[in-house]
This record gives sequence, C-alpha cells and structure tokens, in this order.
Amino acid sequence: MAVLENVSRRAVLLGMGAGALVLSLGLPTAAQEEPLKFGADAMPHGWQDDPRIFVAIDPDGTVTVTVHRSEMGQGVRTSIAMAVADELDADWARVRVAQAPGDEPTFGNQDTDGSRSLRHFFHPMRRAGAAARQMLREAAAAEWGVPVDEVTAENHILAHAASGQQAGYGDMATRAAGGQVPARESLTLKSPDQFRYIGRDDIGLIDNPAIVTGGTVYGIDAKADGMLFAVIARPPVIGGRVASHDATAALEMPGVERVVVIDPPPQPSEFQPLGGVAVIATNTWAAMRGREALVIEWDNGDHGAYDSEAFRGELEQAARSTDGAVVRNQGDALTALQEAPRRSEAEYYIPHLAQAPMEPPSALAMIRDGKCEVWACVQAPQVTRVRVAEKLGLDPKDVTVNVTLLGGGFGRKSKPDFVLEAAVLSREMDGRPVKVTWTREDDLHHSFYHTVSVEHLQAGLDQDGRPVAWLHRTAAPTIGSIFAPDPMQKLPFELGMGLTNMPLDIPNVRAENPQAQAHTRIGWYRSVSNIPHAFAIQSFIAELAHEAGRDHRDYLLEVIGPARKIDPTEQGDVWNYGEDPARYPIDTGRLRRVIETASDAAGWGKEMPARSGLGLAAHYSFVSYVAVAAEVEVGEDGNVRVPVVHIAIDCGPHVNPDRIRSQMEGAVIMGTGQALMSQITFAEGRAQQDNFDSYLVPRMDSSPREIHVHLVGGEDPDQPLGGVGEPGLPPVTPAIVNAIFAATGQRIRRLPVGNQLTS
Amino acid sequence: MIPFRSALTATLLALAGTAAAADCASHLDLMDEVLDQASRESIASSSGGQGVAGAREARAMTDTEAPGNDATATEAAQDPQPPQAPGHAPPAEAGDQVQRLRASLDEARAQAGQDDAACRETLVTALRELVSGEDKSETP
Amino acid sequence: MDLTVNGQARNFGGDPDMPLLWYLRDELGLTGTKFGCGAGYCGACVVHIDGVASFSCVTPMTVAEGAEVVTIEGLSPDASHPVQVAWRELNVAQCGYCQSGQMMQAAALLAETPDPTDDDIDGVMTQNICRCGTYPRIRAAIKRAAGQEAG
Repeated sequence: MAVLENVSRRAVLLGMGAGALVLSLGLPTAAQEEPLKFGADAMPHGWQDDPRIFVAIDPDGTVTVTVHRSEMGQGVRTSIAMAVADELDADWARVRVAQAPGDEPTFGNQDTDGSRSLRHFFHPMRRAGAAARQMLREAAAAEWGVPVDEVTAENHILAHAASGQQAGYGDMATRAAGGQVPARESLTLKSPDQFRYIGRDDIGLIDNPAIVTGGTVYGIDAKADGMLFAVIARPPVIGGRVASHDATAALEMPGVERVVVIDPPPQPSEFQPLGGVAVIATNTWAAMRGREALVIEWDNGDHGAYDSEAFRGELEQAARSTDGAVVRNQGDALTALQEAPRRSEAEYYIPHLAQAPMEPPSALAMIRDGKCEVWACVQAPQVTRVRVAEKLGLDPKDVTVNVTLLGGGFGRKSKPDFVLEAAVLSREMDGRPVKVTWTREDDLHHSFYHTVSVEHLQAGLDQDGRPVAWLHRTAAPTIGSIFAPDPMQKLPFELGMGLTNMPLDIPNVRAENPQAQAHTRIGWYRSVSNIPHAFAIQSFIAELAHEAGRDHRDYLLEVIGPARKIDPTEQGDVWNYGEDPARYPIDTGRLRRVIETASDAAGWGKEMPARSGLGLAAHYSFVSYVAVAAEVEVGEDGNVRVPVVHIAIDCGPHVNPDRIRSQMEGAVIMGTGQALMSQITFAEGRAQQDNFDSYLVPRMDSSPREIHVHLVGGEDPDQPLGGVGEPGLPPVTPAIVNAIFAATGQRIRRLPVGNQLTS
Repeated sequence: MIPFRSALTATLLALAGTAAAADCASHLDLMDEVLDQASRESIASSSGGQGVAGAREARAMTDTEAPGNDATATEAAQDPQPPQAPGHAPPAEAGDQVQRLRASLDEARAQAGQDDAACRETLVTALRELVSGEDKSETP
Repeated sequence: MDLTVNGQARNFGGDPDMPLLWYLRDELGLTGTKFGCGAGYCGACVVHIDGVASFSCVTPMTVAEGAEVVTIEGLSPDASHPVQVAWRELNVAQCGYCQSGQMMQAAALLAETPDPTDDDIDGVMTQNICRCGTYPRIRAAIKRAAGQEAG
C-alpha cells in the first residue's frame, strides 16, 4: 500500500520505535486542586519528549524523526525535523521524517490547530533531539571506555579527540538504544549561536523531492488492494434526512456495486457524518455517475428556510439591541458615550466562508479481524481514532489512523466526518477497503462554515476626535452550536479572538454579545473569529481617523497608546489562546513596531496616483503581532487590484523563517479573497455556491504581484514563540478595504467588495 | 446550575427510590436537560483552546479523572525500562462517558411508554455505571 | 482504445466517457495528478496531452485515444526539468497538493513561451488555483526556470 512511511511499519530503531512505547499516565485525582495549566500542559494528552518516541537511527545512519503534527502546508514536518536534528547535531542530508499515527497517549496532543505546533512542541522536540545525542555519546563512551564528557557528537560523527577514535551515529545506534534516557533536567540545549538549522532561511522542504515528482500521498491518494470507491449524496440542508430514495438507475450504472443509506446524526452533530445515500463502485467516476442517477427526496428538517440575506437582517437587529450579554466592561462606556461631545457608529458584515482546501475531504477505511485501519488527511488524528472506534463499536486500540499529507486544511480537516463515512461504508462492505471522495460541490455544500457576523461599533469622541468610549457588539452564530443544542452566545475563545482582548488605550470599553442562532454547521476557519473582529475594529479606527482629519497611521498608533504590557485576563479574556498571561501578555510595543515596519516599508504618506491608495491595519492574534500595508488600484470599472502588500509579523524567535514568510504570503492572498470576492450564501437552507465558478477565490491574476514579508523581533531567544499559521490573515482584509477608501473615498462595510464599486 | 454529578446522583436516587412514582419519560426529559445544560456550561468554561481541544474538553463535561476509552495503558508492559516521566498528560476524554449516557438515554427513550420498567432499568444501569466508582456511598 | 502514458503503451476498455483523470488515478495508480474541482476550474488535474496542457478532469477517454499523455510522474526521469528544479530551489510548495498541476501548466507555458512576461505568466497560470497562496513563488520559479533570474 503506497502511503506515507508510517512509524508503525518501521523496522529501524533507537529505542523501541513509536507505538511500542506507552507511558503510564499519571492521572491527577479529582480531589486535588490543580493549578491552572497553560500551553501544551493544558491540551488533551499534553506533550512528550522521550527520544525513543520521536527519534530513530538506522545502523546506516539514517535519522528518522517522527512528526506527530499534521502537515497541511505550514511546513511542520520540516520545522520539527529541524528542531530535532539541530539538537541531535545530525547531518540534515540524512534526516527523514515519518508521520505518527493518531495516538496521543504515546505522542502527546495532536490537534493541529490554533497555530501552536511549534509554540507547544519546539522545546519538547529539541529535548528529544538533545537526549538522543546524549545517548549516542554515552554509547560511544562505553564502547571506547572513555569518559562521556570527552566524547563529541557533531554533524553525525561521534569522536574522542584524545584517543582519535571516531564513529558514525549509525554505528552507535544499537548500543545507544539499550541505554538509559537521560533525565530531562540533565539536558543542556544549544544556545542560538550553536544552532545548525534552527533559524536558517535556506532549508528546503523535507517533502520537496516527493512534491515535485507527484510522489506525495494525500488522503485522496490512499490505495489498498481490492479498494472500492464511494461518493455520497448528503442532505442539502443541515439536520435534513432522506425521505425516500430510488437507487434502481444508479445500480444499473456500470461499476456500481452497492447503494447504502447512511442515517443522519442526532443534532447537534459534532463531527458525525451528515447521512445520505452512498454509492459504492469500482472507480470514482462510476460512483459519481451512480450518484447522479439516484432519485432522492429530502426531508429538510428545521433549517430549510435558512436564507443568509434575511439572516443578515436578523443579525443587524440583534446587533442594534441593547440586551446582549455584556462580555467586557471597563469604566462606564454607556455614560461616556452619552456625554462625549461627538459620537460615531458603524456596522460591518462578514459573510460565511468555506475553507475549500484544494484537496477535498477524502479518506480510506478497511476493517479486518475486528480492527479498523484508516488513511486520512486529518488535523485531529486522535479524535478521529476515538470517533471511528465509537462508530464501529471497537476499542480505540483496534483503530489505526494513518495520517497522510493534507492538501490544505484551514480548519476543515479538524472534523473527521468524512473519515467516519469511510469507516461506516467499509463495515457495510464487510470490511473491504472503501475510499470516500468528496467532490468540490460536496465540499462547498457541506462545509463547517466560517460563521457569519454583524459587528456594531460605537465610539464617543473627545474634542480632538479621539475615542473616550468604545462599544462593540458582535452578533454571530457560535461554533459551540455543533456541540451543544442551540447555544446563542459566542464562546470565550471566540470572544477572546480580538474582542475581549482588544488592546486599545481607551478608558471606557464595553463589549456585548447579543444572541444568534446557527442554521448551518459552523466550524473553525483559519484565524476564526479574529476575521470579523479585526475587520470591524480596524475599519472603524480608519473611519474615525478620517472623521478627525487625522493621518490613519498616527491615529492608529495613538489609539493603541504607549508601549505597555496588558494582562488580557484583567479585561475579561479568560482564554488568552490557552497561554499564561504572565508569559504571554499583550505587548503594545510589539504591535506598534509591526505597524511602523509595514507602513514605513510601504512608503506611508507617499503621493499615490489617482484611484490608488495605501491602507493599513494591524491585529494581535495567536499571541503574535501582525500589520499589513496594502496598495490598491481601483479601475474606472470598479475592479480592484492589489499590486503590492507589505506584511510585518512579530512571532517571537524564528525557527523556520522561510515558512514564516510563506505563511504570511499565503495569508495575504487568502485575505485578498476575503476582501474582494469570497462568500458562501444560503437560500432555502442550501449553500448557493457549487464550485470555483461561484465560490470565488484568488487566482494569480487577482492576487498581489508583490508581497514583502518583514520579520520583526525574535532577537531574544528566550522569548516564548508566537503563532504563525493563522495570525497573518486577520489584518489583510481591513488593510485592503482601508486602501480602497484611500483610493476612492468609498467605505466598504459589507464583505466581500464584489461589485459594490461598479456603479 | 446544579453541579452535573449531583444532578446525576439525584436522578439515580429518585429513580431507584421511587419505584413507580413518576413515569420513566419524565426522568429522561430531566436527564436531557441536565446533559444539555452541562454541555453548554462546560463548553463555555473550556480553557484549553480554540480548536478540537476545546471541543474535546466540552465533551469531558464532568470533573472525573477516568480515562477515556482511548487509553492504551495495557501496552505499557512492553516497555523494557522505566519510561521518562511524561511531560504532562491531562485526562483523556472523560466526556466519552457522557456520550455513552446519551446513547443509553436514547435506548431508554425507545422503551419508554411501552415498558416503563425496562426504561427505568436501562436508565438506572447507565447512571449507576457513571456514578459508581466516584462515590459509592451515594449509590443505593 | 490505445494511448501512451509517460511513454508507456496502455490500453483502456472501460467507460469511454470516463475522464482521463480517473483513469490515471484509479486505474493506473498515477495519483500525482490531482482532483480539485472536476470541472476545469482549478487546474489541479493538468497533464500534457500531445504536449498541450489539458484539464484531465474534463477530458473523456475518447478524446485521449491515440494521444501521448504526460503526467507529473513523467515530466522528467529524474526530477531535473527546470520547473521541478526551480520549484525545489524556491520552496514554492506549501501543502503541495496543487503543485503537480501548477508545474505541468508552467512547463507547457515555458515550452510555448520560453521567455514569458508577467502578463504571459498571469494569462496562463490564472487557470490554476492554489488555496495556500503560493502564487508569488510560482511566478518567481517560472522566471527562474526561464533563466530570467540569476540563481
């Protein structure tokens, strides 16, 4: 079976090889008062740093690093291998990676989301590399009968200078495998000047050779002998079900083997499959043809009337009501608003979006001898394992989740509904391997959509136009709606994405969260609620600057205020991206610096041609600081082009600078799409976009030709790491919209811009 | 809100103690309400983070330390030497128990109205499994 | 019907309406060619048919009859095509999924237009979607493969 090299099949070792080693978990007892946990400590199954789990060395010297986080384009397989190889002092040319299966008790947390793979695992992975290196040195010392502190280990070579003895890492691997794992406290990690790979800008992606020859394996590429291919007709409305169906014509299609009805899940449906009618055939095309021939009558359930245009009106009403839950309150914003010499208000609309990864959700499952094995492009392998086990009535020990490469994720592949479909269909086919492929239409019709928001902002302004009072109401269905019945408020983590932790220097701040009901599946989409919050706040500040007759950059810096460190928990954000507010306060100095860097690089204040403009926005998210200065040209026909974008990020120390740059480049392009063209709309409960002809995403000709990434900060190696995958995105869209205002005087408050500028 | 565990125990006591006082269906409704409320509250108070971890916490609604069914401790015997102490290993998904309770509720609901005794039996068994091992003194 | 795939003679006896994409992927196991939209909107499935960049997801097998088909697996015997080299050197890929189609499209562009302008690149490469947002590096890699930039 051609899949990624998998650790469970690996015969090489330093130590046991993964899968064989399981630690007994020191579970806390309920009675104990536990201190608050942060970072990786607070994640399910925490972290591990045992070298025997993550590092294997072949007798031929090949080092295999097991990566337990999912690769979806962020470069994590390369970056984690860099961290391990650096502390191991391995020769990069002899480093390989293997992908861990879903098994958190062994590997630690595997939920690849929240921009935290390196934030949480950089140090554990370095320790794994350092411990393996120490074990090699001890093996060499024992072999040669010399003191261990006289044995050096550099670039894959162990040496004892005094006796002139030398050996490769591979030569000592077997002996080292029998040695003791050094105590964590005994390890000395490298200082930055000793780094061999960490921080270098010229490390090629470890998967490049496979990528350029088509040898990579994504979920959709998984193969097994005797494999069948399935596509599924799913209820077009969330909560719907098959009322009746006729499979006669489908079964007559050449290649179609079976038609299977999948029951709909109870609501809320969490990550469960949506149900529907599956067509199983001998190839994907036959399954698609069979699906076309199905005759199905749907019962649409409770959400058959969902209409996103009408819902926008409902959200606006909610956002104008005064009875929303108060989720943040400093000073007395309501009184200050009344008493301020001037007031300003604005409302912003941000539509549903679909992640639309280029690889649609796809998975292969087979069941044999009471054990299930799946190959799938999943961001949450452990959750996938447990849910598959529940679905099939198996012990999770008997479910193997092989994690393939992900052809994009953006949050969609955190939800394993598509894997459960494959498992259920394999069971229907007596365990034969079944691969479920989603078409693009399936992906756009049955996403876990980014929520839809109306953001209502009011400011009370002093004589100089500076805000003394700030009221922000956010009305949007919550992600909690897929887990609990009809929650009407956003969750703390959603509010903590730019609302309750908003760091502006304003004495009276109030945030309210009026109720909103979900009528479709809502899920995480890269940077999540930061998208609406940043768009609204950064647009509104630009509007206030204009009203005050002030330069936008000066005004933005003034509203952010002087450099200071803010404890977000003191203003109502209980979450702080899961991090300790003492280690990760909001540092407005860092926010100011990225703004200055991006705007200076863009030539802020320069003369712009007619119908061209520079726009600026900044946002703190995932404990990183990002600012964007975008240049736009608006044609006479209303078409918007974004020729140049400068983006500056301060994410703390840089592990893999090239991948920070590539994430920023990607964020700029995705944010351009959100500004100009992308949206999912609903009518009669159904998503209206079918494919890339109607769900518009940036293409080369609609993307910025020049993207300049500025890496700021990172000078202090002891500073904790910030996120990279998501924080680039939130400020892009408001920067572009602010630039459109600078170019045309037209203020866009409803995304996307679409044809709003064509008159 | 009534603490989740207390609500479970109270329902169990009520069911086991009052042989035929209320019909089983009314207990089912109460349990539904308790579970729904518990899930809302626990999602709201989840701290681990955005993303799947938050959802997993949401499922781990109770403060039980019981490992979820994804623990693989039985394989530990293969480890030839004492392992490095784990860095940190919070409990696995205790919420899986709650999922099982939901499944039992569905089963009991199917019996309600036809065979109230069977419905009650299903519910009591499910609740007892959940509550026992936590605080045996409260089980009747 | 007969055709050649990456220099190898092949015979296909199945549904003549089946798109070439699914023949390559499901029958021949050549999964380097990707499915992205099934409608010619995204370019993930681009292969060369008689040297012309084509959307294999909307090319029925009847059209491929007698043709010489080249997929990413056959672009060069040893990953030495200038496009493959440039893609590696500039770390173009993020998730990598669309890149087979991007490289096949770029290779055909350079075969036709060895010294492309930015507008030439836009005109052709706009047919290929990348959700990760690798377009600036794709542009740079095409220029490098064309020898327009010193290494």
